[in-house]
Amino acid sequence: MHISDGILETQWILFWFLISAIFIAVGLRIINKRIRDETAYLPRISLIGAVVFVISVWHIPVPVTGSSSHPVGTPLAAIIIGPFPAVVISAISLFFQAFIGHGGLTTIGANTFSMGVMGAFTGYIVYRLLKNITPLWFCAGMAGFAGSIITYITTALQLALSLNSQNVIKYWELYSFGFIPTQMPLAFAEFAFTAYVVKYISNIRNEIIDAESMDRFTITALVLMVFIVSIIITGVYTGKGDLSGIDGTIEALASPGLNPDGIGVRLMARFGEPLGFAFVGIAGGLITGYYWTGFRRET
Amino acid sequence: MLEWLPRDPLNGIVISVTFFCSLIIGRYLKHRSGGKKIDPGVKFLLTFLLVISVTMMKHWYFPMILSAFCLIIASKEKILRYYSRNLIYPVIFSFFILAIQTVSTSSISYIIFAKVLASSSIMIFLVLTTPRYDILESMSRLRIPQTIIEISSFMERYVRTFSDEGKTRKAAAESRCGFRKNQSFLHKIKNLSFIGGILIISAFDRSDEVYRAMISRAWRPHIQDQYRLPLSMSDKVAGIILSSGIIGLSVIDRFL
Repeated sequence: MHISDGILETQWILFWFLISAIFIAVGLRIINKRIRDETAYLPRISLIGAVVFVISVWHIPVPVTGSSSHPVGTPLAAIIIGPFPAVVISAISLFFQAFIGHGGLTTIGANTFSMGVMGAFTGYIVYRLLKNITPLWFCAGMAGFAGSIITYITTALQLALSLNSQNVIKYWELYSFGFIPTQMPLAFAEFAFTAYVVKYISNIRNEIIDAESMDRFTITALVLMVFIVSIIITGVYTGKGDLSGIDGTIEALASPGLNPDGIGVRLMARFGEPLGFAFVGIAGGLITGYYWTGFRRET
Repeated sequence: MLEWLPRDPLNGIVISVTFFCSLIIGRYLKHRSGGKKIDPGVKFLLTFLLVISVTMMKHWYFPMILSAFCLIIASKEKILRYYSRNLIYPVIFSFFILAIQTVSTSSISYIIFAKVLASSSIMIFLVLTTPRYDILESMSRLRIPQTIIEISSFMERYVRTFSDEGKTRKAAAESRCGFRKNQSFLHKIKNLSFIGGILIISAFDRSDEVYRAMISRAWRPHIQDQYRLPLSMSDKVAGIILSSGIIGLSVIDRFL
């Protein structure tokens, strides 16, 4: 379910573009590095991307409802080409899909985040976590299922944040429930589809599936990200109505002489909190990541 | 007939100046371009700007006027069927949002519907007037990374090939009773997945052949980056005038 043009507010369009751009930049860096090592990687990733795009617009039968729908496709792409390149392929696919009335130009950032980032990374992490303890078809299927569900939950969150900022949690639930009749059966269909495709490829050409792997640092960082985000989401779901958090307590204890009209507070009020927090996250992450190796060596 | 002129001369001055200035610029543009179409890159940027301004609009009537304008052109160009088919998905999506909003609150926000309709109509018109490959080519001027453009060009070229191959394989499977009506859900999915798997493997193999063919033609990564033509003066002027018009429309919408 891609978000069409004209639905999201401008600040949210920019916010999702910003977040997706980071993942696309990292994906491009990985692809460029691979192309420098092996030039043949460019046509390979493009052709596999084209096939995944074709598969993702196929109508697959959906159980219970008796109708047919499109699979998300990004968990499958992440298993075959890796999660970061899958984000790049997903953004390009969404650009093409915008021309046939699916999604839009201004919502490419939001759709890339829900499908490309959340769908691909959730699918890939589930696949990697289950790979050594379950059969291949099951971990691939679970990757497809989790990727599909997370994509729609993220889309519902994006809609709620933009359209109903005064009551995000209530509308997040409403949009999620609205998606359930079509998307839950589709997630089961995606489970079966991804499981069979991966099983088939591993039987015929096993090297295609195992071609990509992430380093330990990236896997640890991504697992931590998913874990922390899950805790926050669980907290938000269970603590309905009271979302004041512990900001006030921390502010009072850590900095009693806090100026309520400081530059940070005014900047947040001017550009919106999500953009402010995104900026802080990006700056903090980039600096920590840049100096990480040197810091580890010193300690 | 022109009684408004002596009553408020400012109206007359404004309309005369704007009309004749636009007339001169329009004639100049036509003369400079020799009737050629606007550069795809400029058209793409203008589309993006127009969609953004539609998204920011506060009144429903401006997006609806834009949609009606697109509808009239579509019916005039006899592409109404294509136009309406591509509008189905965005309209369903906006109805879904309207339904949720209506269930939860008593007020109905029609502006979303108007915005979605207008934005989708504008996008459809970009597709109808500009080949996708031209848009991709012109994107190098917009500082889009060359790797993205190269992957997009490859994908654009091979999507149709693999789509046709998939259809052929599905037809072959159907001829062998692969997708019978009384077959179970799992059986159908299994057959479809095998076709998907075959396509992925064939893409993997074909990419090596494509690479060898490209190398034989002296291809190397980022080769297109060196052959970028500068934007013509008429395209620059057209881009500035049209973008000023779009920004003006947004400003009028804000102050109404």
